[in-house]
Amino acid sequence: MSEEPEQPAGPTLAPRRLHPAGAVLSALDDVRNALFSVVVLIVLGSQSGNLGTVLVLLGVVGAAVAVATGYVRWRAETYEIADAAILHRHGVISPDETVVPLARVHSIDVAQGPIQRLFGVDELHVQTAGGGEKGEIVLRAVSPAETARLRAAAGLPEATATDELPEWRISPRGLILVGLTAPQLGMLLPLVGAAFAVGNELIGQQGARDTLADRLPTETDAILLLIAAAVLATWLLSFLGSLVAFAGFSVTRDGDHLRIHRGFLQRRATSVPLRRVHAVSVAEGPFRRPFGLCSVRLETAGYGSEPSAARTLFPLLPITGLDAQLATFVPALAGTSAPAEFTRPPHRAIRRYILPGTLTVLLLAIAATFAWPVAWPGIPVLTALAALDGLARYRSAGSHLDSSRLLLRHGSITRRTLIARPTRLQDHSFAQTTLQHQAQLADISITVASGTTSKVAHLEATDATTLFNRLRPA
Amino acid sequence: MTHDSEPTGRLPSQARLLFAGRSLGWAVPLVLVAFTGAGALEQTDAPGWVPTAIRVAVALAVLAGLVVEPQRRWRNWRYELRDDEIDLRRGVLVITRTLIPTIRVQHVDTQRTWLSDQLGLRSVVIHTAGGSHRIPALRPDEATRIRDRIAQLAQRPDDV
Repeated sequence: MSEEPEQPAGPTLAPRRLHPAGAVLSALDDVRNALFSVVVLIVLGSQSGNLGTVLVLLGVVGAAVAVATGYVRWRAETYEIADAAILHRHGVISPDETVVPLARVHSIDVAQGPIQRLFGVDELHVQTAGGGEKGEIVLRAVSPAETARLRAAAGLPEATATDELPEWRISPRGLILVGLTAPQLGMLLPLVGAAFAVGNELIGQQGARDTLADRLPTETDAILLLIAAAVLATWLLSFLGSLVAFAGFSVTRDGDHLRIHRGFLQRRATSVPLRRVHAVSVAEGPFRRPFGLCSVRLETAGYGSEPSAARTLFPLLPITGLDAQLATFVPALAGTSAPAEFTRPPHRAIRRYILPGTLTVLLLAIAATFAWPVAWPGIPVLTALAALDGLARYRSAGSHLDSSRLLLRHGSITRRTLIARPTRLQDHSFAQTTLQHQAQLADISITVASGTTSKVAHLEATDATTLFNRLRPA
Repeated sequence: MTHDSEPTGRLPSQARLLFAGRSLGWAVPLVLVAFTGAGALEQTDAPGWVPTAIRVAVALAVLAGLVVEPQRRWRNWRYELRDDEIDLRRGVLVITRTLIPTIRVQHVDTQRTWLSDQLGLRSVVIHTAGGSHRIPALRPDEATRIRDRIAQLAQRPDDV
């Protein structure tokens, strides 16, 4: 600290209220919460034939109540800095007081919803080491000038001199690609196939002049058309969902923590201390891997329960650029790893990847054909798919350990690579069945602090033993 | 330092009864349903060997669950505490050896159930940020010793 005589009271900021926009936000909350009762009342009112009167009464009384309570709650909410802590008081009937010592505050993050943007105010999240997307204290409407004063009083550096900080920002084209290549689309593929089959049948069977309605004589066809509609709707929803989740996505590295901003209507800001990032997982989904694209998720202690979008580090990245981006944003996980360096399962492990799944599917398909003879094409098709799945898993599997990081890779349709700090593993395991023991093969798995477990199966037993021992505490 | 040896601590022999007791949870309903069903099948015109096959299969499954599985699980279980790591080795069909750095341990519990009380056993649960690990059956004094030892070792600061 400086040589200046210390102020006895430390930094202080007299109690103050939120920007009046806070009262509006509070009133809108009431309206939203009351919507259900309003609907019930409207239904009751329409049955008694006085709908008009009821609606007018509701509108007037409801608005009055919302404005009044919004105002009262706004009056009751204050924040201040005293005794080296931020105090937040709110609540009318049962006032709550939250105290966060300044020493525990590692950032004050800014988010903006549509209402905040309308009034030109910020929603402040006071973040502590405990982490999470939602701050320990949330101040829903604070003017930018007040934000600066609060930051200064809290002894935090000026908000966003972000120009000089390293930043990764999603491009409009990238955003569209995220939506188009979303991994959940992979699950829809079988449905799309079924829909195509029906489509072919519909067009093939009858003359083109028949109307669609004429071509729906059987229930099966109707059901499959519904499936096609559902597929289209799901795809559209998933596309829009990705747009909303990742619009305006940006990552900034500010010294020892990452700031992640995202969201379209509701701007969200997350602050993640870098020392808690023990690993990242890289997913190459079925529509991304052919184009050399991947997505990267943070594996962070204490953030395991956050929604997946909140744990995203890069929604879409060329895999060739991954090491460079990690060097900039998560230096502890930086390194270069050519695929050739991976320790891979030996050739004699291939059948162990392929046979168990393929045989299971084969037996199930045969059983299904006994019950429902029409299902016979499933036997060759599903069995072949299961075999391809096993082969893909064999080709994905591998591990690599160097001085700074451990990489474990597995998966079939989506290939996943966990990149972890070897000195921060929560546990690691070596597993063998009796058969694997005889074949001198073994599985290796690790767990990181987010609770994510990653496993590579059927490695050469000597390779697995070496890795197992190198991961032990020094 | 290197630890080339596998862990050495073994569970007390009553652990077999505890494992068998847990298997009762599925074995009893299975026997009731299967034998009732087999009895009902005898009244129908199903082939005579079907009820017998069901009874034999269920008897074998129960034998495996009550005798073979507990015996193997007990025989394979090993644990060992070292200054810097906890070493667990267990499994019935898949033998898994897991190492937990003591510095990663968040907290340790001892747990008891009605059944474990009858057998004079406790389990020790080791919690890390990534999940939990259980040593399922220990004598109470050994469970307390292990819990306190791990808690003591885990006090060294970690930066999680």
